[in-house]
Amino acid sequence: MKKRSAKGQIQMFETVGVLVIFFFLLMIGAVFYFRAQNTSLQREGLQASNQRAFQTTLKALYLPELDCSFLKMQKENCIDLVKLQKFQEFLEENQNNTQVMQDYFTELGFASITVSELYPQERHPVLYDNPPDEFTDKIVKKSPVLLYDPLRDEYGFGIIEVDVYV
Amino acid sequence: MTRKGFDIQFNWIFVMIAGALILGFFFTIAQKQRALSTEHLQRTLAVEVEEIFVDALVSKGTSQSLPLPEALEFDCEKGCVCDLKIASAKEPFGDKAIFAPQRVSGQDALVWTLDWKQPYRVMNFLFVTNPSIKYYFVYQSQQGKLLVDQLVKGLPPPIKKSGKVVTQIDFGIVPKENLSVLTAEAYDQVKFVFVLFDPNVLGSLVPASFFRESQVSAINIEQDKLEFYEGKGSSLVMPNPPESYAGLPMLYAAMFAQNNVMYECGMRTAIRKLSYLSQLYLERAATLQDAVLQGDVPRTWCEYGNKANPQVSNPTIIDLLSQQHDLAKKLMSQPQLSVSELKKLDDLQARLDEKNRNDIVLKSCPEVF
Repeated sequence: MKKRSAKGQIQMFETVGVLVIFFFLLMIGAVFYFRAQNTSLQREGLQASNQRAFQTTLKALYLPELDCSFLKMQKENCIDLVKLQKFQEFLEENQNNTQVMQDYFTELGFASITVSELYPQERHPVLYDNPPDEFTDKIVKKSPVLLYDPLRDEYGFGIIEVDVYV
Repeated sequence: MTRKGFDIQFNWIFVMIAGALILGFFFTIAQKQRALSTEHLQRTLAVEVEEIFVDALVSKGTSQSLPLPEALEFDCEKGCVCDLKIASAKEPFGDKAIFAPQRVSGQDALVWTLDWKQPYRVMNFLFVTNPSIKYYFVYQSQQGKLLVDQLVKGLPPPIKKSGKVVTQIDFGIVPKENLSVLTAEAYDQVKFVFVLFDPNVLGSLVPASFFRESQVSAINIEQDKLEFYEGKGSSLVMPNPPESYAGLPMLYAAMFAQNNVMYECGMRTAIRKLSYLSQLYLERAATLQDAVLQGDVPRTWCEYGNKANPQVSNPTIIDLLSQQHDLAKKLMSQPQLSVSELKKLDDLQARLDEKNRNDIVLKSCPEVF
């Protein structure tokens, strides 16, 4: 009787052992699988953020608040310097106007937009600055733009920099 | 209980615990996988949809096809909380003026952009539809026919790929007398655009077969108001009071919007944007005037006006922009867009355009817009 019980116990330990090893291997497999999934998701997230940064740049370039449009014709990749200055002042004046800030936030999101004039003068006015309280990364997109000065009727050259916070 | 019996029972308990553990493990994995897929889907859709809309918004007066792996659902609630739903993903679009039916599914969607000018570009209206929706323009007078022709002329042509139509705005033009003999076709949705009809006769104008075949809705364009109708049973009912409009883009907005809530939300977004832009252009014109006075602009004959001293008899461009700004703000504060104010806005737009051309461009002065 004792012999049979000892044999049964050994069998039981064997089964439990097999199960423990089975779960252990399953866990390792699952950890690797989810890590791979997370990495791919992070990569996708980064791609999405890049895309968003590009879209924000595009939106900024085509904002009617900034564009160079004369007699209903719009000049591509061009920012009107007087409009830029006035829009900057408008955003500053309306810092406490929730509706205005909400409207531009839904359009531009958590980002900073700087239009740097490189020629003929060098200036770096920050147009829109809305960083979140916490962020892990910042994606920077730069695009060359024409800067139109309506007072002198001259075109300059500059860079629009869009920093999107992720 | 014998020892053998106890062993057998223990084995069963053991098997059940081990089985439950294995099941639980796979269940957890499945749940995690589901959460990951949802996140993946939401991110992909959000980026792709935003990309299409951003492309459409920056390119004016164009139409493009949008392949639909899933149905698109648009919804605007009172208070202008507007969402676009694809599968389980939801994206708000309150900042854009999008006019679309409640559901777009099946064939590729057509996304058409039309810029709203006052007379400078304020924002782009975005219209979404697809060939599973049929639009019927119905008229009863010569005046109505003229408006229908104008509306149809402005619609974008079908989008073709390799000579084959991928998507289009499917429409028909029907004089009132032919409406009763019109045959219902198998469309998911049918929208009637009645032009200059008496609202009292509209309810029973559409043949009953249409209500059996498709989801029917309608708008009636009157001289200065718009009525939105929904199909109920086999007749049309107007659940909400009429809306106002001014100009063709607003008529297209009404035609493509699923109801008056979506129409009004889009209009309010556009008018709010107009209130910001009119102020910016006003400030820009004032800067140009200062530059003229200070001699920075050599053309001393250029006259933009004076914010502090408005001219009543012959308003300057600054006066007109100031009026436009005040009007846009007034419209924003009204619970419903008023016809008279919208007409004034339309009139101001024409006067601003004329002023810019005659007093600024023709005199070789720096343009305001």
